[in-house]
Amino acid sequence: MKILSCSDLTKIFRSQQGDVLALDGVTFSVEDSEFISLIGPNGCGKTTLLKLIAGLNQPTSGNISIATPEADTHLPAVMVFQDHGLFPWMTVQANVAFSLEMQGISARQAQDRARALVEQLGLGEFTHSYPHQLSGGMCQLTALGRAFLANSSLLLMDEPFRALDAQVRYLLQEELLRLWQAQNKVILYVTHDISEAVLLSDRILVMSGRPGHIREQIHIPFQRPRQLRGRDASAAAEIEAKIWSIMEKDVRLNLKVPK
Amino acid sequence: MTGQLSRVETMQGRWMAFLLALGGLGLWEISSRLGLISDLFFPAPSSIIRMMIDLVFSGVLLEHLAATCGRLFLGLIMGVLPATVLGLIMGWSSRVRAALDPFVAALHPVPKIAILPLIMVIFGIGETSRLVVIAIAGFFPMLINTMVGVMQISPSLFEVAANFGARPVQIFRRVVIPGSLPMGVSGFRLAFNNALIISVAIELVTARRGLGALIWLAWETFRIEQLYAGLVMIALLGIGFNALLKRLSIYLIPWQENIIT
Repeated sequence: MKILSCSDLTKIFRSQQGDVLALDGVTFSVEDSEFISLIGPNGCGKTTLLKLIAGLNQPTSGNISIATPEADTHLPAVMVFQDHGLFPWMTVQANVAFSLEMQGISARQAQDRARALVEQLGLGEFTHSYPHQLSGGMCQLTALGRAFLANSSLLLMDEPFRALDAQVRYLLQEELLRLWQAQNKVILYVTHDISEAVLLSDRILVMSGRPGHIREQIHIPFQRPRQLRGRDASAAAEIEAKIWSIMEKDVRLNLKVPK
Repeated sequence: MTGQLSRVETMQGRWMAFLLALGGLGLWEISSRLGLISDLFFPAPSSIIRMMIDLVFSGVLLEHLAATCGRLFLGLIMGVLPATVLGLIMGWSSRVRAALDPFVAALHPVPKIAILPLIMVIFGIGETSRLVVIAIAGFFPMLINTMVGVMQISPSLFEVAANFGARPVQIFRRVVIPGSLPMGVSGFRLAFNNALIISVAIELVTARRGLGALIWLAWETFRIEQLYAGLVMIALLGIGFNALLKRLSIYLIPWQENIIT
């Protein structure tokens, strides 16, 4: 079943300095339970595309359709932000429960389910801590939990692990895959990191430089669960090299664009 | 963090302050008794304390204190409640803010005691006029702080809430109110301090009862100890309430990293 399809999306940002064509004819579609990464040079419009799909912004032309089941509390798409977006005035548990309460689930039930998930994520001892008392990794993990409890089959992630150090990022990538495998959700994952994209995705959409469009789609053939640090490592390197060869020209071009 | 004192340094500072105060009072006491300074203007601290004790036991001080507290808190509530509601709305809606901001900017800097005569023309000579002026004095700091409190909530948190399907009422309850609470609490302290100043000023001018009236009466009858006793009482009222609010804000805002005081 198709969960998301974008056809011929164009986005023009109008300003006094002139119009900027950010996206130019983006077309792709996503099937049920797929993990898709969007990769491309800086400023290619990845975040813009995500915001269009999230409904935070409107495309100039083109069409986005998201399959929504019958339930009226169902959300078309839920975003995970780079800066985790936790409410500073809510504890870890309350932040996770927020997602459930907005679906109309009673406060007590929401708190119970949130507590269970927080423990499952290994954050049991921080259930009643506030975000400022947590590390960046724990905050992002809480944000992931909150997003997965939302009543939506489409999760949009905008470089959620960018601010984390490499080791913590590795742990959170595994946690993300675990959460995803336990549930039937589509993830659309924006990243700069080629090897992260290869590790996580079923399919990678490689974008061009501005104006962004999809240069190529790459299927990742590895079985799940992934073992990119073991079994699949050499094959992964091959794919990474291929993606780089697609992107290299755009990135070089990007280097010369003045700020 | 720079500028942050360690626990030991804070304790040392407290002791230093305590000793300084004790030393100052001792010096005052001695100079007054030896006649180095006129005890007409600067009566010895011991005689001020004696006067306070007399005033407490005769019930006079409590009567005046009760009068001040009564109108202070009633007026404060009258000002702070509408200010909170309006501040939340002005902070949340840029359209309402744009429409009302000029009025706030124009009215806020007016010294509130200066409008007392006008208010008395409108509401008559009596308690109502006093309460209205005290309410106005508390209104503006609460309004401005609450408004800024909402405005400084990160816009991404509004996006997050909407993204999870929160309706406007829910955003108001779960984002706008808690997000503005830290600034709101400090606004309440500013409102209290403003209202205290104005209460005393009004009492100096118009009232028969209240700490301001007590001081004025002491001046008219040249009872300097009583004048000092009234001042000390006002200071204690301010200090006590500020300390209480500081304590309260730790319970109200448990997510604050360090309470700004």
